[in-house]
Amino acid sequence: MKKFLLAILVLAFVFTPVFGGVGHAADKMKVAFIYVGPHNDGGWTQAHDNGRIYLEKHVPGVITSYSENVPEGAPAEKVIRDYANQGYKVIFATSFGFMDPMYNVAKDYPNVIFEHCAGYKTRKNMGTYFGRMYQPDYLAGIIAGFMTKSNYIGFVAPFSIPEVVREIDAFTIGVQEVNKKAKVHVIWTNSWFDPVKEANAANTFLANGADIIASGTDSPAPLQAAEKKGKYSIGYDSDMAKFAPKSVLTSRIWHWGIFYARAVKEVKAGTWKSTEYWGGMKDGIISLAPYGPMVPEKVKAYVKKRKDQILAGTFDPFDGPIYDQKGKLRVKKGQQLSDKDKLSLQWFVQGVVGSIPKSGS
Amino acid sequence: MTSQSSIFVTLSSTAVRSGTILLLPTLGEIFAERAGILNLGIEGMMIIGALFGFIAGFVTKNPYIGFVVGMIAGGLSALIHAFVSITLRGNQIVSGLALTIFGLGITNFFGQPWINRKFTIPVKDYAIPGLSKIPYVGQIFFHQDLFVYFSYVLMIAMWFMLFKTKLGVHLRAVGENARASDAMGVNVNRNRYFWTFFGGLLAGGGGAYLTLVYAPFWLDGITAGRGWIALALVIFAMWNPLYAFIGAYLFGGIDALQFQLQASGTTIPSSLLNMQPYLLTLIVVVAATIVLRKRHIGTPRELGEPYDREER
Amino acid sequence: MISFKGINPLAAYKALLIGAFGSTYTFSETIVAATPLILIATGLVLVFNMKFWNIGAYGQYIMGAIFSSYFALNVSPSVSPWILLPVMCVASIIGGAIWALIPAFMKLVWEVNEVISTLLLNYIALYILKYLMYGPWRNPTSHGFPLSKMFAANAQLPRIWPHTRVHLGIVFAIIIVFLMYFIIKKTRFGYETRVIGENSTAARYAGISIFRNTMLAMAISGGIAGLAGMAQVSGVIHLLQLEINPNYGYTAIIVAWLASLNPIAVLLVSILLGGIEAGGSQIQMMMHVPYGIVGVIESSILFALLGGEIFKTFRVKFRRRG
Repeated sequence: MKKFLLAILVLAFVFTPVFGGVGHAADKMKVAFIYVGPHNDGGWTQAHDNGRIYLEKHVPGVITSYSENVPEGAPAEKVIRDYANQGYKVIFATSFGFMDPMYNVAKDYPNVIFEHCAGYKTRKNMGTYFGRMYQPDYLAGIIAGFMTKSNYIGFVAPFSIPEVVREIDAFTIGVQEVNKKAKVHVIWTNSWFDPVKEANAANTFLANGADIIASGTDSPAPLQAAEKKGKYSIGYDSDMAKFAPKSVLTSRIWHWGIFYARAVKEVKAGTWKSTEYWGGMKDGIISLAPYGPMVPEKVKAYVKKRKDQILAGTFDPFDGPIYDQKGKLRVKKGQQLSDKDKLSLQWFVQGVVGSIPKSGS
Repeated sequence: MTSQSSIFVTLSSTAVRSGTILLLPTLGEIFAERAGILNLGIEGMMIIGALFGFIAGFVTKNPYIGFVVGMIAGGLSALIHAFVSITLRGNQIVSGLALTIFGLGITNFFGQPWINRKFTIPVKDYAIPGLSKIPYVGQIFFHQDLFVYFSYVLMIAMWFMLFKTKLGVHLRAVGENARASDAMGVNVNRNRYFWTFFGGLLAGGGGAYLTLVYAPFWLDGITAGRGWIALALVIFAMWNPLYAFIGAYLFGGIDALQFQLQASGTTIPSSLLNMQPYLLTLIVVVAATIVLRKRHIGTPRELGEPYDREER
Repeated sequence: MISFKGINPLAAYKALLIGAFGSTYTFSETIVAATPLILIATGLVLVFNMKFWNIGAYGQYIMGAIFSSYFALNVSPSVSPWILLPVMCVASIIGGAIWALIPAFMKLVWEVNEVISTLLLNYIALYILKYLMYGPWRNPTSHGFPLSKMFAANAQLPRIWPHTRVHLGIVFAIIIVFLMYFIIKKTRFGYETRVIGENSTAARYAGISIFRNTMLAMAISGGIAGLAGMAQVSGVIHLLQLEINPNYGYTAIIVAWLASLNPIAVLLVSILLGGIEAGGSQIQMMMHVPYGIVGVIESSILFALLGGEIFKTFRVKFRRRG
């Protein structure tokens, strides 16, 4: 029982310093961000945090706050609700796993605007936002298709969710467009972030003769593994060149700030409406990072041509004809994969070597 | 295309490297547990070693100094556990869990400025004359860096010490029967303190190897649960340093194996594959206990029990 | 202890407190976090009393969640909750109990160390969950994300406090706490488990069946952890997913120990630790410090309490000598 008394003592000690109230900055609109990782993880969360900083800089009268390493699932609901309770006007949740918690909180706070990244549930006061990363993926694929000599490209992938399948497919479409012989091999690490596993996956590819490693996970480990073996790589989330300058051809990167600034401005102006925002390269929410010095001018020119078509809206990587892995025609010539199909994509295109774990009924 | 045998060799030598991250903490924990101290805080000590080893390596631009500092940091953090569980006779399970929470917390806190920094000094591989010429084995085991060789030497030295020296007899006695060894004149608490510290040194070393060589940068939570795997490996090795490498390289190799299957387009659900090492460890433990029935498989009898000289 | 880096420790505690107990709502969240802790820790008290170190509540919790979800996902929504919910409870208890009986059997028959076997079974349970979520149980309309279908209303534990997430699980928890207190203190079974814990050799001489008692105690302990898993998916999350927070299984070990293996104390300690979890988010929200500070605070409290254990030992000794 002594120990228990001690616990009570600690509790009392914890209680003592509760005095006074909490100061609030008046008149500024309070905006909160919920992060799944540390704000400077060098990957996914950092890309969002850069967006937060961009928002503070470009929209006057806004004050931001964030919570990092928020566990997905049930505990997240409290964090989101806390912000809503404390008078935050706009709350951005930046991971898929925050969908249900946010959806639940949004119901109880009709006057707070909720924005959820990468999910599919909306309410009158809750929108979703994401970027068409498959566009830069496709362009990066073109570069890989030109640059590979062994025609073995490895893609280190986290989870078999549509977002990632879409990335692999678009990347492969780019590869195959310029190099029919090249194949994209896929390894699932089943983790967004596990540097050792990611390095192991990259090393497996390299041992099998891969000369380009593309990463869909959040750590720079696969790129460094490639650099160590003198091979090329393609980064993700933010410009990864600093981690492996001799290896990184380019990175597919996020510019969330553009969306954050836009959404908050709309809220301020009272014109905000719940939408399922899915921005493309045209909006500037995504792009390719500056190319590494090893990318030849000829390749750059080809990529630029395709990029301009995407920007002009005259071309989409998922324009038909598209065949799946087994050679079945999935999208006819002249047609385009619909957004709905893209958002729930669960099949690989021709040129991918690998499989997607089967989903139940 | 590359030939099958060279794929095998390359992947195996990678498995040895990634196994080294696990081997060091496993060896350390074997000794700590042999002395009767169960330390569930390996994950915490590893990540402390990973951060401080990285910082030291980064600042001095020397991976070897970094490694030593990482070891010391891990060892110091183990002293918290030693103090709580030996001097204060606190519950070792809780103290170990607390140490893990502490390690993850403190490295998150102090690691902030170091996130995204990269350790750029490459660590050289050395071929061992003679041995490296053996087909397959030489390529896999004897074209490695000094840290890997360090782990080989350590493993053998630890085995020798444990079973062939007086020091080892004392160490085991302390974990088997503290009272009797006390009566024999062995200082139980001093032994336990030292071997817990030693366990921390190696856990820290494993973490530092990760951030200085295997994935040479610092990111929050970079050990990603490997300390827990090391804990399972101690049992897999049945508390014998000489068997530790089998489990460590197996775990290191299972990634390589399942990734190889995936890369060649095989359709085994990866979650089931990932489960195999744990299942295998469980089976090995059970099988070993049944086969060696009635014989002691190495579990120290007084593992986790505090020793109080005055208690009668 | 957190005065380094220029952070005022008092302010940190204050933030923690506001986050945990500052309002009705935050207090309700503390209860939500405490519910699985109370359940699991109460089960652990029973086996820890017999010095059986079950650290497998993590896996038992997952198995409970999986077993109960099977019924939630496959039984028609038109079935009465009065039938479905009890079925789910029983299923979760069976799931957790099976996962606890494996290491118990291994220990009793083959002398396999339970710390090891329960730890390994935790991983195996986690991968079973991953397999189900990425495979057969994935909801085809979840856009491929690893989520099960939403539980229908008849498979959801009712919320008992309006506008909060406090669910019927807390009532289960309180009932089980008192039941456990009664079992340990007043029944023959409880007495025998304590004797085994004190001195298993003596227990054997006294004719106490170690096999029967250990198996039963582990079945109960694992069953309760399984029930906690069911309470979480059915009461809070309303579907099965990877993020069902099985780490409660480890935190509960701390709870059981802090409570000196006393079920009643478990109730209070769970609320304390539930409060740290619920309030931890407040620290970074209000003070803009890295979240790691929560871990540092939590572990510091634990080490301080661990240090306090020695006083207990001294007292016991003193009594024995007197």
